[in-house]
Amino acid sequence: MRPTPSELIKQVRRVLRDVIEPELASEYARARLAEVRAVLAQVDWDNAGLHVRTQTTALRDVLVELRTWVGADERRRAHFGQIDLPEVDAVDFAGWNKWHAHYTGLVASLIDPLEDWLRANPDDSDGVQLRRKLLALSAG
Amino acid sequence: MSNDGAESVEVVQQRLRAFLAERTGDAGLTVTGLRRSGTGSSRENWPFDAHWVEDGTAVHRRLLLRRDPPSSVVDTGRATEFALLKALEPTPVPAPVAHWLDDRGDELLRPSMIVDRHPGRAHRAVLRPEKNPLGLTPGQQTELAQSLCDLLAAVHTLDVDAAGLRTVLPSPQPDPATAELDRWERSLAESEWEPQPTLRWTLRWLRDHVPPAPAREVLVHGDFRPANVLVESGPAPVLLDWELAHLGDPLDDLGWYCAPLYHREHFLPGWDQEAFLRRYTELTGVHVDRDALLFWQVLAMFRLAVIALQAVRVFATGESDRPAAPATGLTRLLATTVSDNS
Repeated sequence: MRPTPSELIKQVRRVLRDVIEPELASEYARARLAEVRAVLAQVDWDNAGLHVRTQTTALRDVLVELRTWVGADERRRAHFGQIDLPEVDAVDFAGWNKWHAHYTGLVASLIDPLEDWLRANPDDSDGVQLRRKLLALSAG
Repeated sequence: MSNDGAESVEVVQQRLRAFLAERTGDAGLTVTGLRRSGTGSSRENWPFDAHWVEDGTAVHRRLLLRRDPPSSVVDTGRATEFALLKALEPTPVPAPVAHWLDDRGDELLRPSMIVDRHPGRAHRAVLRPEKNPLGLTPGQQTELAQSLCDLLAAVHTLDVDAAGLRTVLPSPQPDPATAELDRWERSLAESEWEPQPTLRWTLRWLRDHVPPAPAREVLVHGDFRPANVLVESGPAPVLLDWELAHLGDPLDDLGWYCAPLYHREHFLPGWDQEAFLRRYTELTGVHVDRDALLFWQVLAMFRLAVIALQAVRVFATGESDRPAAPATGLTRLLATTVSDNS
């Protein structure tokens, strides 16, 4: 698809810099314009939808791994309780975004049980590894 | 601030003139050069000059109107800041001189205070050799970097009882670290549009690593960094933006200043974090426990992430006209830090 969103945004930023900015007399407006240009440059416009889909899928995969790890040990099953992982049925950005929020919410609810478990079982290297994966994926 | 809440320069000037005329007793007072500055996130800054006659003598003052925006990313009390600045006036801490307060915004449309406008510029990259926005020589940059350490030491060695600060700022309960954690957890809850597991995980890590209370509570600036230090020509600093000041642990400011995210802005070749901390200990006698410092560094990054979250939220809802994008890099740094130190 040409032009790509990022190619269009690049030219919007150019117009803001070369055409709009020289016409601005207000210091306040110039400062806000600089921030507008910076934010436009910060966002990955081409991959926003793809990113949320990839993140959601990866997060669910690690949660499946965690559920398997929990299920493999009776004490862990008793400690964590049941972990429900419904299948993703998204077809567009809004749908994937909703599922992303669902799984990040599930991760948030597992923080205290996992930390309490690791405090009581500091040598559980699989648990430590799962914490690392969940933290890395949750950060985006 | 949103366009809906914006007043024109003319309206603000009219209100300001009436406000000052009443305070100075000169109905002929004039306000010149009023404009809205591009800086300030938790307050709007409006520099101006005022001219009036007092006891038959012409007075000219360079002043700054600091107003609350309709939606602030940091909820602060301007009456407390005003009282703090008044309390700091007779002390060696170089803070702006505060003159007048309209705490409820009855006259100036929004909660506001008026302070002296000191000469000089503040810039977050003032110590970065490759940017050097104030055009300092390498020697001046090193001297300034060292003077920032001296400035922080001056803030932390201030006798808070003798300066009467306990009547202005509450003692943190049950201890400085927990009090700050509680405060920023509340801010997270207010700005958490969708679940933020990394920040929640960081919070859990912080709760598990609360350091012991310090031997002595000090005045904590709360946002100590070059962006809030006014430099005229070389090291003659005035410390600005006291809205986050509180009583607490001296390592609170050290953790903020030494947060990994800020290293390139706060240190120079030959003036690294260790040199900064050595000089700080020499000046204050405060031993910097490394575990406690890590706690405060992580809390600093957590605070920054919460502020960024709030900034994105108020921009996306149209409450602020300061564009902000999600601070993913900061969140990733927090995730790594928590993983590596658990």
